[in-house]
Amino acid sequence: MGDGSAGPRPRIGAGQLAQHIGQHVCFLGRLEKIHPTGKLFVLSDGLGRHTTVELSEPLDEEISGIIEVVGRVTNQATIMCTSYVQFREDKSPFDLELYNEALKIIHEFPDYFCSPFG
Amino acid sequence: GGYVHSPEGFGSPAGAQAEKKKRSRFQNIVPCTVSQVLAAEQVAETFRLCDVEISQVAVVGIIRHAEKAPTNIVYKVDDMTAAPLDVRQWVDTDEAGGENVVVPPGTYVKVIGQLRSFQNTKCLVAFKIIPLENMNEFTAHMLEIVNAHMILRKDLMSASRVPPSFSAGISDMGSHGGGGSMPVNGLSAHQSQVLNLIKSCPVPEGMSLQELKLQLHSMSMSTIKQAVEFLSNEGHIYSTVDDDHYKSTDNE
Repeated sequence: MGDGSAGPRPRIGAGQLAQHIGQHVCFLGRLEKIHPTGKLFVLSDGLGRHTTVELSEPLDEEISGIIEVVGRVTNQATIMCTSYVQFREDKSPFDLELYNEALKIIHEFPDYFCSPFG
Repeated sequence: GGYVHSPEGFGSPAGAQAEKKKRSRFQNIVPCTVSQVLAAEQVAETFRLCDVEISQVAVVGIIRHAEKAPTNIVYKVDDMTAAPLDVRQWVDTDEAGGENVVVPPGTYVKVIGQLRSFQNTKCLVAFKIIPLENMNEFTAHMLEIVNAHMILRKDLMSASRVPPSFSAGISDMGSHGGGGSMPVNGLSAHQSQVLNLIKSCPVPEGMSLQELKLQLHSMSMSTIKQAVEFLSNEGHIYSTVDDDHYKSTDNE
């Protein structure tokens, strides 16, 4: 399964999952809980909305804090994760609410963020 | 050095080399997404995105791949807006260790570099690759991109008409605490101040950048340089004994 990394993976909030079903997206959120099987975890976005992230293989490491997930949105509006990275917060905490504001800006002004052709 | 008198911008051919050299030194660093970098079209020596000239850019993304060769390191930097971008960093073969440690994949970095195209493939030749320590810089970069491209494109549209409602002229993305920039006569406040000082200078070799900095306490050197670059390109001033000294064309 391709991870879509040859193309754009729009940054979205939980409210936009439904509009991107079947597409590769980038979702950033705070880790809320990990399922005991390690194949599922829940992230909250800057507005506290929850999103479920599924993995094809169980997690093989401890994760916490801010997680950036790349994956495909399923019909159930969950994210089938192809890769993830934990944001470092060793020097400064990450402002997730500010990120949510930035998301609004880049969606309001797509011509000034992505290439104007798409 | 060299005396360059080119009120129209690119006058005599002999002056063109010095003009070009001066120009490339004063380029703004424009924050961009990878998709914008890839969409930019090559025009002569530079690149244009929606008519905005981009040459030196800043990109923030995660390193997906890193490969070290004897003279350079090639990275693939991914910001999710497109496929990962090639970033090349020259290795200083004289220097043992230190400067050229390979940044590991999975690290978020800010890359500042020169846009280049080779056989239709774009890459950045990096001046600096800085691992992000504070991930809020990544959020700030997103906002800076929208801000920069909005200002740069609006400047182009309103250059000959009504001054735009926010900072005119070449935006100083990296500056902190710049003063108000209400545009006057198509020039921003910064540009007007610099021009007026240069106009008032009586000596034959004109005013130097250092003297401008002494007189304009609140303006950073990079803001002054950007104003000088703009005024020079518009034909208001020209460089005299070297690229640091300028006279006003209105004095003639």
